[in-house]
Amino acid sequence: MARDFDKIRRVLGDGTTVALAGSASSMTGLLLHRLVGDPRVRTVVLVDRDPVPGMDPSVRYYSVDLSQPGSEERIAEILSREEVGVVVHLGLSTELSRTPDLDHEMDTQGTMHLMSSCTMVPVRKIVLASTTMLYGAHPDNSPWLAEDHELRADRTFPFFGDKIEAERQFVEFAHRHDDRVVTILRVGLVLGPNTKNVFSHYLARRIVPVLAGFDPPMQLVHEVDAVRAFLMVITDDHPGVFNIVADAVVPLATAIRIVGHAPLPVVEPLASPVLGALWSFGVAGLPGPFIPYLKYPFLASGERAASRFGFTASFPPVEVLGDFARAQKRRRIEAGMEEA
Amino acid sequence: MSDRKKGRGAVLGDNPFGDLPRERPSRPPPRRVGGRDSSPVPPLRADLEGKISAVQEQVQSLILDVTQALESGDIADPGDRRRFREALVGFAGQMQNQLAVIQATEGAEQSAIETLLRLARPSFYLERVNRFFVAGRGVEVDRFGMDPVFERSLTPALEFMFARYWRIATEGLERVPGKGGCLLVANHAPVAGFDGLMLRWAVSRERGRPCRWLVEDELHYAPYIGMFCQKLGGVRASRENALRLLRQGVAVVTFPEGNRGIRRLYRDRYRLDRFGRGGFVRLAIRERVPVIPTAIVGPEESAALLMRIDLASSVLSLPFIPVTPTFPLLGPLGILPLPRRWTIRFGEPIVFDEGPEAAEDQAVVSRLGEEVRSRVQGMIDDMIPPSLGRGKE
Repeated sequence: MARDFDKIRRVLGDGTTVALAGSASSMTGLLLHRLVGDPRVRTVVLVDRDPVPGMDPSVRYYSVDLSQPGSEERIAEILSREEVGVVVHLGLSTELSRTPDLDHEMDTQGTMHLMSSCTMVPVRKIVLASTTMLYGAHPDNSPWLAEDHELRADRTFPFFGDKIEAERQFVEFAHRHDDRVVTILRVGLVLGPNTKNVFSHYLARRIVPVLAGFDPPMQLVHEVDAVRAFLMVITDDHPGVFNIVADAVVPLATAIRIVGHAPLPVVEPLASPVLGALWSFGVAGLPGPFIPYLKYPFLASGERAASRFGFTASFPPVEVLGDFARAQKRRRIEAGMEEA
Repeated sequence: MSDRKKGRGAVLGDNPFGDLPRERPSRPPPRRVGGRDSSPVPPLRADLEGKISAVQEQVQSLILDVTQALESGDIADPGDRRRFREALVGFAGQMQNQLAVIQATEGAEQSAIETLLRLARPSFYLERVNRFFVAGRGVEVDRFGMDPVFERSLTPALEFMFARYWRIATEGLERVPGKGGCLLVANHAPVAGFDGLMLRWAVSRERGRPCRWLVEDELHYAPYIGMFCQKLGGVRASRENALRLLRQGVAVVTFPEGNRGIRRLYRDRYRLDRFGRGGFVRLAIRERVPVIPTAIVGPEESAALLMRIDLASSVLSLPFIPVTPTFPLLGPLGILPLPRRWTIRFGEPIVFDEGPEAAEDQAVVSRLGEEVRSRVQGMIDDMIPPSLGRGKE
C-alpha cells in the first residue's frame, strides 16, 4: 500500500487538483462522486452552471456559465487560484434540450472560453468528453471505426457540428501547446441508472420508434465503465483520441425489448416527418437528424484504449440494459405511474 | 322440504374436511342417505369452530407423538427409523399438496379482480410479447450483425429450405479446403440473398467450417431482407470486412457480379456479367488464399426476374421493384423463390502464384478475374441440361 502511494506521488506529486467544467450533465455528477476521496486527487473543483446535488463539502464549487461572454477570465482566475492541474471538459451537451440555441452556445462558446482560459494558466492536462456518434452512421462504415477515421456526422445539425468543432479546437490546442497533455475520449452510447442523454431519453419511452426493416447493432457503455475510463486518463497521462466502447454489440430492437419497451416500426419515408412531429410535440425522444443512427451502424474500435491504458468494458450489454431498465422502473414507481 | 335442506346442511357441516381424513372423496359418506332422518344438528358456526380446533388439536398431538417416538428411542433399528421418517415425509408431502390446492382455489377468488386489473395494463402484454420476441434471439451479435442464437432457432426452417424446398445438390464440396481462409467466387441471382445463405449453409453445415457471404449494399440495406441476411451471417461487402474474415480463417463467399447479378433479367439468365474491378483477385493475391470458382444453377429459374421497375423504388429503399411470377402478385410471400431444384458445383481451387506486386497491376488483375469468370461460366454451361436451354446468345 505504502509503495503504491509512493508510486502515485512520484507520478503526480502531492496529488493533483482536478477541475470539472460542465453544464450540469449527469456524467459530471458521476465523475465528481468518484473523484472525491481518490488518493491521487488532492482537490476537486467544480465549475458549472448548477451544483451537483449531494456533493461532498470538500468540493470547491464555482457557479460559472461557461457560455457567458467574459467567463474565460473568471475560469482562468479560478484555475490559477485553485492550482488546477487537470481540466475535464464535460460541457458538451449530451441531451437535446428544447432550447437548442443554448446548447449551441454551450458547445461552441463554452469550449472556446475554456480553451482560452487554459491557455492563460499553466494547466497540465485537458480532457474532453466526446461521443462516438460523431463518426456518423453511414452505410459504408467499417464495423471497427478507428480513432483517426474522419468524423462524418451531419455537421449541419448543431448537436453534431458543434461537437466536431469542439474536438477540432482541442486538437488545435494540442498542436499549439505540446507541453500539455490533451486527451479526447469518444465514449459510446452511455447508459446506466443515473445517466441522462439523447439515447437514454429515446429508450425510456414505452413505445420506441424504429425504422421498419432495420436493426443496427449498437455499442452500449455502462456509466460505471465510462467514469472508470475518465479516471484512467485523469490519473495517468494518455495524450490522444480514444474510443471508449464495449466490445460486445446488441441489436437496437433487442435492446428496446430487454428494457421492456415496444419498438414501433416506422416506414423509412415516413420516419423523418413522423419522428419530427413526435419530437416537436415532446412525445418521442429523437428528432430527424438521428434517423441514420437507427439504420446504419456506427461501431467504434476500442483497440487503442485497450492497448494504451488497458481499458476494457466490464459490463455486457444485457447488464447495462438491465441496470437502466431497473432504474427506469423504480422512477416510474416513485412517480406513482406504476405499481411495484 | 325444509327438513331435507337442513339434513344436507348437516351432512356438509359434519364433514368440512371430508376429503382429508378418512372418507374417500369418490364414495359419498353412507350417512348421506339417511341424513334426512338424523337428529337435529347444532348451528353451523359453532360446529365449524369446534371442528377447526379439533383438527388443530389432532395435528398438534400427532406432531407431538411423532417427535416423542423419534426422540424416545422406541424405534431403535436405524433401518426402521429411516422408513418411519420416509413415511412421515411422504405424509407431509400429501398434506402440503392438499393445502396448496385449497390455497390456490381460495386464493384465486380473491385475486380475480387483481388479475383483471393487471390484464387492463398494457405493460402486462408488453412483457409477454417481449419475452416471445427475445426468446429466439441472442442478446449479443457480432460486429457484422450475425446472431448465432437466431440462426440456431431457424435451423429447422433452413434445413427444410436446403434439403426439401430447393433440394440442393452439391458437387465437389471436398474441393473447399477444410480450414483456413479461402474465397468462393460464385454467380449471383436475383433471389434476395438466398443464394449466399444457401452457399453458406452448404459449406458451414456439410463441410463443417466457418463460412460467411458478402452482401452488396443494395441488398444489405434493403429493409428486412438486409436485416435477415445480416442476422444469418451475411457481411456487408467491403475490402476491409473480407480481409478481416480471411485473416480469421473464414471461407468467404463473394459474388463479383454484385448489383448486376441481382438485376439480371430472366431472359439473360446464366450469362455472367463482368466481375467488377477484380477486388477479389487482389485480395486472393495479397492474402495468398485459394479461389474456388463456384456455380449455382437453379436460382435464376426459381426467381425469374421478368421486369424491373425503377420508378418509386427509392421510396421503399429497394434497388428496384422486382416483377417475378410471384411478386408482387402474392405480396411479401412472393419474395420467396419458387421451389425449383438447385445444384451447386465447386470447382478446382485456383491459387494465384503471382507475387504481391501483381495486385497493383490492373492488367494482370483483370486477366485473372476474367479467367475465374470464364471458369464459372464454363461450369454453368456444363450443368445446364440442353433441353432447358437458356437465354439466347
